[in-house]
Amino acid sequence: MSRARRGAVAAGLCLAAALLAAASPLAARQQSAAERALVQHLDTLLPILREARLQADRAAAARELLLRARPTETQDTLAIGLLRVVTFPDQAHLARSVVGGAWDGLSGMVTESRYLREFTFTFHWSSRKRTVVVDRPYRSIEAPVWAPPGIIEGNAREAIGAILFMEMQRTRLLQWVRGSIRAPLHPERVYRELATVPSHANRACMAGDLDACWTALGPGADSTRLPRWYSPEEMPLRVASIGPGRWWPAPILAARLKCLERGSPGSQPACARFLAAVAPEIAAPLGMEARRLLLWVALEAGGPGSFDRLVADPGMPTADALLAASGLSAEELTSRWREQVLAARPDTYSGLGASAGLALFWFLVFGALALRSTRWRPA
Amino acid sequence: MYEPLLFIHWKQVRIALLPFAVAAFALPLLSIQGLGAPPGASGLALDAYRASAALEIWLPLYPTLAAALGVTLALSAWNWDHQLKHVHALSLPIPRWQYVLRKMAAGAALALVPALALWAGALLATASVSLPEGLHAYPTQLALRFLLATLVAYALLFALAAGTVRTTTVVVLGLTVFVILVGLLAAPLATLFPTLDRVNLAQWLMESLVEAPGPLEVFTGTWSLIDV
Repeated sequence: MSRARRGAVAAGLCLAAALLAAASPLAARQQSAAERALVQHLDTLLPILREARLQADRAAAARELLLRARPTETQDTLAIGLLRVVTFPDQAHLARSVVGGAWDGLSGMVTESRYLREFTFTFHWSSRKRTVVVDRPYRSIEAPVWAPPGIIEGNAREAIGAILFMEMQRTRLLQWVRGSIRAPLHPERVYRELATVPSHANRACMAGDLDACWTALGPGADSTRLPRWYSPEEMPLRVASIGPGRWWPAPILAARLKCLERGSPGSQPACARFLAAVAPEIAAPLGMEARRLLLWVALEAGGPGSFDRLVADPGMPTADALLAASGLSAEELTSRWREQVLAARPDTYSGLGASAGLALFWFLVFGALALRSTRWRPA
Repeated sequence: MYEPLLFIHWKQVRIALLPFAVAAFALPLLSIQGLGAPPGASGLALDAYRASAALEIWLPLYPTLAAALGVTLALSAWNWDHQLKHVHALSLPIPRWQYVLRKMAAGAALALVPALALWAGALLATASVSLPEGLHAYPTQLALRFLLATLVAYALLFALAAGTVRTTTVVVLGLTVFVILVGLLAAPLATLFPTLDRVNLAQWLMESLVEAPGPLEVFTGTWSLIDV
């Protein structure tokens, strides 16, 4: 390339650069002006959008008011203990039977409840698609007609217990137990937990040490109880049985992984770190179902007004609240709990008799089918 | 007439039956390997968590062994009949139904051999460990379930093998094709007929087989040697 040509190229590049440099602020200024105009235009649209939303909300509210004010069918309101149940007239007798049955189990324990008075229960156990309409906070008790009575009765107990749990949420019990206040559905799971979770507290409880049971149940549990729950050898086994939680933060997951590297340096402290970091009801050797069973045992033992006493003082420690509700000592309460757990031991081979009958039936059926072969019939 | 059929079946299957008996005896012993301590050694008590977790790994082997044993017994029951074109059976002075019943009973009796082996193995296994508080051993129940599952698998295959190979092929292929087809056609059919949206025929078929009163229900129950 000649010197003149190189000079021309360099001059061209310089010119282009100069043009670009000159054009950029202009373009930027033009763009920002256009954007500002757009934003101003959007601003002008916002009041319209706001008004449209308001209108939509008003329309929805009016629709709901209309629906509530003019129910499509006549509804009955029943008073069952502290409960207010709204249902259709043809369902009233079922509601009295089902909800009344569920309330009977609680009626002695609860003499007053702000939330039970605030809430309404709607009842519907039918194949027809109908909506019970009420104008206050409500909780549904519903099931299709083909659902067995046990399902709708369970729904009723769950619904009432869930409202009672709202009453408990202002107390310190919330740190120890959660969920609907009702008789445990699966006490056999508590037995399985007591028998198989690797914890010396559980084993001692199984052997009859009531203090160990109380420790394992952990009312007012905190991380200082960890050595009373698990020996150093049991901690990795317990951590392995817990499994990884999807939403745990990285340090907890890292502690779990480190804990499972058995024998490596730092493994043992990692186990303790992990068990102290996860929620107490996960770390404890006996989980939520066991605690709910203890709560239920306390309420049953306490008789009339036991639930009222349980939630009377929001600042009362969990253990004291349980003892106040039950009217028993910790030893007596734990003893009753243990009796119920041992009585709920699952029968591992409970269905074997029926299975044997069924197997022999099918053995005979297949035998009969074998007789039907056409192989030996003369052609 | 029963004894000769039992003897013939025994001669046919004894070589195949031996590994089954050995496996049935060994399986409970293998499943408790490394778990226990001799009875009375309280300091080395069997850990309940280890037991329940480790035993779970072995659970699927019991029904698998029972099914394999049942199939082997059923196929061996008809094997030489098919090979000899049923000439021997036709020459016997008894009606076919009596012949079939006796043949079936002979095979069922032979199923007792591995079942007794499993029972002995399970008794030995549970006697060799000290169970912690709260856990219990179920050697007899496990052996009974094993025998029942073997008998059902045996009867099912016995009925199929009693017919021609063609019949067996048609039944097995028909079921397989049905399961595959309903799986493939579920989505298009649900699009055409919305009422079918909630109907899963393949699942229904499987549930009908493995849940009471289905024929394979005995396979889906508990197979625990040691449990709470």
